[in-house]
Amino acid sequence: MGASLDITGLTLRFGGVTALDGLDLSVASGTVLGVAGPNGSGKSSLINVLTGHYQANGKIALDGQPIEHLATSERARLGLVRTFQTPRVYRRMSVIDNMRVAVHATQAIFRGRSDRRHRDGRLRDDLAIFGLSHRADALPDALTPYELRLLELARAHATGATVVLLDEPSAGASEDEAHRLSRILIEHLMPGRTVLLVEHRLDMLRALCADLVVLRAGRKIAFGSPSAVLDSREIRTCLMGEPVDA
Amino acid sequence: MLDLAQNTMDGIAAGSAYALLAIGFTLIFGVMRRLNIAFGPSIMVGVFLGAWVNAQWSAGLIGATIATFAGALVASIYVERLSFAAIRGDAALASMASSFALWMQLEQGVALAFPGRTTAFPTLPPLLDVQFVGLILHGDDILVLTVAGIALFLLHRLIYRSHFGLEMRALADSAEAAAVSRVNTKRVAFLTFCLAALIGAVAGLLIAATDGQVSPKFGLWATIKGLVAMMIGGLGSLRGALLGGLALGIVEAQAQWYLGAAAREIVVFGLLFLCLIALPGGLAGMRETGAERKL
Repeated sequence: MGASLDITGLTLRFGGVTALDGLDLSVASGTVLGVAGPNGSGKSSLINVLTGHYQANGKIALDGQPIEHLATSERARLGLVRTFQTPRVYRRMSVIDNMRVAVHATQAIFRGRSDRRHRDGRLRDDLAIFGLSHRADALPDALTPYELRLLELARAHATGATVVLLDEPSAGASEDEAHRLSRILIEHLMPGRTVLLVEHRLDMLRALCADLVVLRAGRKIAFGSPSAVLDSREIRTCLMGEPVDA
Repeated sequence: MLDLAQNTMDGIAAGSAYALLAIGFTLIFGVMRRLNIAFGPSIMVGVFLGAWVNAQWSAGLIGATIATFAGALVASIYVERLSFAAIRGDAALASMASSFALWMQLEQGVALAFPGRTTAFPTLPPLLDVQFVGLILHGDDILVLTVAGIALFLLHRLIYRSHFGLEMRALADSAEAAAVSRVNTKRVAFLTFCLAALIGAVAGLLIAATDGQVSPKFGLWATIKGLVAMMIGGLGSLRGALLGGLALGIVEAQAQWYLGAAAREIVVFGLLFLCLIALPGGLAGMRETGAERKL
């Protein structure tokens, strides 16, 4: 099941630029929090700080346990994993090997021959769920950008993570792909997990999130249900640059 | 023509030990993206410990082998803790400079502990030379090739058939992806360092047992041979390290025969220069750059 994520007074500066400015946030266990904001508002910085890619001031607690002092891989082993705007996959390893790494790392019991068969069967089921079963033995370079994103999501799923941070999963996707992606997230990745979804598509934020936070210059300027937040003309102007019908 | 073939055969035997050294460098460079130039000196500590154990207790080749492995492992862990684990992953230059400092420390330590400098090492068991079509395969070379072959086979099995090998390849491929895939990156990096030490110890053992002696210059020698073989083969590629080691052995043997011992090193570094200019990706990757190629 998902774990709670609590952020207190998170501040990140790059020289004279403040990327996160004393940010406080709480994501309840098993819920989906959307994060929106204009470019440079601190959305990706927030994910980078939560996973330990950037070091910031402030406190981060996973199920009440402080994690701000831990390295990225240590946080991941506690169940906090992420995806990237540009998918990070193992380009020299087949799709199924990409998945095997995630399961190996979590379940050392898969050592014997029958265990390996069981594991591979489960991983191929996972790939089928994410629409990649026909690509199991391909190298990632043969995959489309959308399929690479699916592979990264499938791998996050296979790790058995309790908290998943998604950094613009629909970036570069067509309308149809974004729609299919939303369905996969709702049906397979999100159930039972705590999810932080950074996303530009307002329709996805409306459809997937229980709550939505809007950032500007590293500060929280709105928080609430997506419909309530996005109904605000001021917020839509902030997100889209001009008033639009979301 | 017969000389050419004989030199090639001799070169392959020497080159198999160079290949093991290059593979040790490559494992560390591929997984950590940092160069450990104290790799050769760490192996030197191992072979000196082997020589000392043999001298103290007449331990023979088996006792010296165990001591060589133990010494190389402990020295490598010392280097790993100080120059790699304690230094941030993206500070590659700091790790390299730090490993250079430890190189000096290890070399001076061995020179102080063994004031006689060159020390006897138990030799390989005598094996008859084999003759065929006018060529001679020396007994020592047969043993060196057999041991190096077994080590390479086991390494291949470990990297491509084991749980640890999968994680090691993942870390070499994308450190960012490995970190978020719940791979214990610190543990994998540490164990890779240990594996490189053991592979290097096999090379050190074969070279010392073939020569029947070791000197404190072994560290410098092993680092240069391993680095040159790795660069000829292509940075970061295991296949390249193997090819580079064999190529280095063969070129050395030919140069020594046709041009004399004095010209040998000139030819080797000339070859390295040519490779860097004409094949920056090394023998293993004609079209790739070293940075793109992984384990």
